[in-house]
Amino acid sequence: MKPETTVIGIQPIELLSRVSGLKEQGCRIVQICCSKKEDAYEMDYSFDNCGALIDLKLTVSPGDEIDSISAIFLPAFLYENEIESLFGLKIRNKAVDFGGKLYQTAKQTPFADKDGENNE
Amino acid sequence: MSRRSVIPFGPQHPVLPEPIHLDLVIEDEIVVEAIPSIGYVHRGLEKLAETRDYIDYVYVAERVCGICSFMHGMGYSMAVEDIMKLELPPRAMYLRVIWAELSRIHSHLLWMGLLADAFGFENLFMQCWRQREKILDIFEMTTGGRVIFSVCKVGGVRKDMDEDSLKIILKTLDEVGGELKEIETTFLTDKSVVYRLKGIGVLTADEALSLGAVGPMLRASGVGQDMRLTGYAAYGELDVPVVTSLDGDSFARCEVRMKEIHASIEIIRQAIARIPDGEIAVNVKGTPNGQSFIRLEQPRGEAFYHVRANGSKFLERFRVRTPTFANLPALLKILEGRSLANVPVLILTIDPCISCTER
Amino acid sequence: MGRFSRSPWVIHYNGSSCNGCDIEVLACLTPLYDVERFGIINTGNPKHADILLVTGGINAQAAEVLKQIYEQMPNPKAVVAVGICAASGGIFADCYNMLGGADKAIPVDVYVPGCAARPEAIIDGVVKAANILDEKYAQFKQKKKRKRENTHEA
Repeated sequence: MKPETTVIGIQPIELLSRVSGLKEQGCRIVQICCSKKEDAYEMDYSFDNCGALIDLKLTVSPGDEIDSISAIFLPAFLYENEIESLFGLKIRNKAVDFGGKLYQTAKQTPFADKDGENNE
Repeated sequence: MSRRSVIPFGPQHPVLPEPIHLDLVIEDEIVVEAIPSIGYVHRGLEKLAETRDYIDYVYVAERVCGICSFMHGMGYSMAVEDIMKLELPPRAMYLRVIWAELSRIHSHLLWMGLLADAFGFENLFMQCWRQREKILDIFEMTTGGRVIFSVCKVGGVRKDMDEDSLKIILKTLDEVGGELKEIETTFLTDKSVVYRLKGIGVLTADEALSLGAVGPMLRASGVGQDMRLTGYAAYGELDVPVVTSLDGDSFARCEVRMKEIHASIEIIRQAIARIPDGEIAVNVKGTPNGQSFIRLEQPRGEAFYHVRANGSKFLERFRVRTPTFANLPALLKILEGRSLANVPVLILTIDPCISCTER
Repeated sequence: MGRFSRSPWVIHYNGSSCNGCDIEVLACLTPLYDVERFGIINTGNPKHADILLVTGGINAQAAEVLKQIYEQMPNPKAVVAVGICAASGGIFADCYNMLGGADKAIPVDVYVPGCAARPEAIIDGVVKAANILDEKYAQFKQKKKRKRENTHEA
């Protein structure tokens, strides 16, 4: 038995309105995940609605700035800072900004690396 | 006029064995703001998924954290099984529940000991860990390992438990449950212990929800959210008691965890009574292709696993969101306005696992 | 038994450990294993410590902290790397944020194997380290004696 999971593909521009809608439905944020996909980044925003998982999936290009959802779901600021830190993406209007330094690593992590050249 | 100063807390300090680092902005003795910084334990093991065989990666997943090791292995395995549409034999599901609940007991006992140590009650610390060793003996008897036992694999479990082992488990749990009652009395009624915990670091239900708290942290504020209720593994066939408290303070968090140990003992008893005979694993053929989102209830709360595979034997992405990470905003909130001397106890009441958080 | 191995105090630092070895180090102090009966005490202050127990591999950030702790410890001192991660980086050796074992930052005297290292093995490692303390002290005395003789001859 597995709880219901719904994956919805959205455009970056829809993000804030979609997330506001989920807030009104009484959802709770579970996590934000970023992953490298070829030349772009894929973002997964996961929310919980009484046990069911709703996942908003969107693709952003490396130079793009993403809107922060921390004004709607406060705990999102940690995930957003994590993504800035590990992936080098820019997320604007975060509730708390660590300036890309939430994770203090000696060098940029290979997640951000385009071709994985600097992977060790 | 009060002066503001910043006190670095950690990474090496006597309170916690783990290197957590916080910058505490204080005014006189009162914390006005706490700023976390992450990186002392950051290894980058999510990246390792791209260069390890998906069958072997379960060993890495288990080492996200040495305390909830079994459940990390289980979460990862469940995600891969979900992608590959593997149907697990029921006995494997029950065995997973038994080990998972034993892990919860060992983790909560460990935490109770550390809490006692944080408020300076060393004898109580030792008593908790003395009980915990009995649970570790069960692990050693059934798996061969004490803290990391690699018994979970994609497609089932590696080892079976025979009738004798199950009997010994039941006997040990009776013993631990009985002795725990004595320890409990001290935790819940001793004046000096209550003084350190009651009314300290209150988190209301609304705050806990809006800050995204999970696990005992949330349940101590009166919200009965528990991922086990979604019925993964064999939990759907068992009666899972959800422990909550209404006060939302450090005392409530302590009480919830303590009662959860009894609840876990109860779940294991049910599982042992109903465990079916049969195989303990299925054959795994081929490679995963697709994605999966799995959530399960760890001792510290809801953990989230995201696995994406592309049909090769290496995964494209493994992501884990651990309960401590979700509890950080709530921790920063309860630290505000508290005196510096209360900081260690408050940090402990979220049951922090830094290794999990930083991965 | 030499002067330093009688009651060595230990300090524990967690590098990038998964916690497995950490809780086993702590387990050594609790009733079942109870190393305190041998006079071994876990201290949080490097200036009180004779033996440094390192668990987990080392990353750039942790290396600095570890060096600081090591330098603050009084001589003679010994370092025990507990578990395979502290020895070589273990399963995480290939991770991008790892430098490797504890010996990438400080000299290590004893390596304790295991993932996670068992309490018996950790205690064994500490006993070995305690003997190393005596040896180091004997060497130090000898050096001092030689130096004194040399100055007398001159």
